[in-house]
Amino acid sequence: MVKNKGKISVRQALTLFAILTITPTVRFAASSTALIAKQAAWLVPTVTAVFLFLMLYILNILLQGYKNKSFTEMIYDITSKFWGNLIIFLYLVWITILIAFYLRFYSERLVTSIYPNVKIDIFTISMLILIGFIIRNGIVVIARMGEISFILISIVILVLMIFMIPTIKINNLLPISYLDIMPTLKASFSGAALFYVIYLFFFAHEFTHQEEFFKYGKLTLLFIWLINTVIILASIGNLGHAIISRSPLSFLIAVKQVTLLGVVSGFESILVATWIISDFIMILVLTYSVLNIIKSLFKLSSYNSFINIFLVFLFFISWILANNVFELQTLSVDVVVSGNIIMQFILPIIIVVIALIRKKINIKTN
Amino acid sequence: MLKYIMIIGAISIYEIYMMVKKRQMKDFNAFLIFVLIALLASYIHVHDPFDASLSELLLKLVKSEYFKGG
Repeated sequence: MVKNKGKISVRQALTLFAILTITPTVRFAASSTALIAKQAAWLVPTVTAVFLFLMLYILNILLQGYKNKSFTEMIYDITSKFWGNLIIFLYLVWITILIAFYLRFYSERLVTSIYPNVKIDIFTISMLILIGFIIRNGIVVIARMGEISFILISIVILVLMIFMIPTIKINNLLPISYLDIMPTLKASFSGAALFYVIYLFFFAHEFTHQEEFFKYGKLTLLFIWLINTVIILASIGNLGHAIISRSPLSFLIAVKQVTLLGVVSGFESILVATWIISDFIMILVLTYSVLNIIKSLFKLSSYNSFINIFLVFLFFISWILANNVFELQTLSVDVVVSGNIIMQFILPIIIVVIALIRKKINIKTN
Repeated sequence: MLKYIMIIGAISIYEIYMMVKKRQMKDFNAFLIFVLIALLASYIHVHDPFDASLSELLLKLVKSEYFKGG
């Protein structure tokens, strides 16, 4: 037990990963898939799940080959020092941009959906102060918060789905034919961009029971597939693909249509509350990853001194990132999806292939 | 800009004090880099020297249809 003090299990890490996918799924899964795959968009998560399963297998090879080591240590061991520094620096820049992106989106969403006359700074600063306090307590506290949030978020989405069932129109989801195969495959890229598990590998040295990664990874994939399918199904089934593809907060609009017994409404506020929790966990976990990267890259004795200054930097970068929410949405579709595919799929696959060629890891050990 | 310099300065003084107290002065150089980056970010935020946001620069780089309008 003493050996595992300050560490989290792989199951807890994958729970954090599951929460990380909820914010982007609720925000853009329905609209981005409906734009390309139209009424067949609800089939996209199934195709995406196949890609993610293969990626999970590849990452499992890496994790089993380097037990109790972080992703930075793996990169340094597999590549040279120069290339290792370059790759880790790229991850540092990209994850920082991602955090700023989600921080700004979180504040913009609150101003757009509930508090139209409130200054956006208030939400950004309050989130950063909260993160500054919690992140010092380490990954164990974050993981426990994640577990509680996971249950809460799952129950809320499940209840909302049950309420939304009567409003789903089958005509909006059909017909499906062979002509939908290519658009569905094309749309699956945007779903695959949510595979944030590699960013958690930057603190993989704090995982225990790493041999269970594939087992719990499959269960997490099942959860993500279910949440994605249900959200897209409910959104498109409710309002049709034409409206959903043009809506910036598509699932929120679909939830706004829900009424219980024709009397009780306003369920979107529950969704927004859940969304904030998910945003908070996401920014917290990604910031923790970045701090671990900084620690490895600059060979620091501790990252504690860097928390406040990094959060101040995040505040400025979230403002520099975009002038308005329309820029953020375009950035999300045109840059963030492609960037995530490169950082989450292409780079890790290259690293695993190099590791296999250099016989640093072995498939048979899995 | 002055308020941002004051905030960054206050944080820096506190963190340097903590570094000295915990005998972690070997992290000082890296910390200084981050302070300079934060100051640079605050300058860009206040004065907007590029007359464009980071999104605009990135979207121009990938030749996005965002600027085509319509």
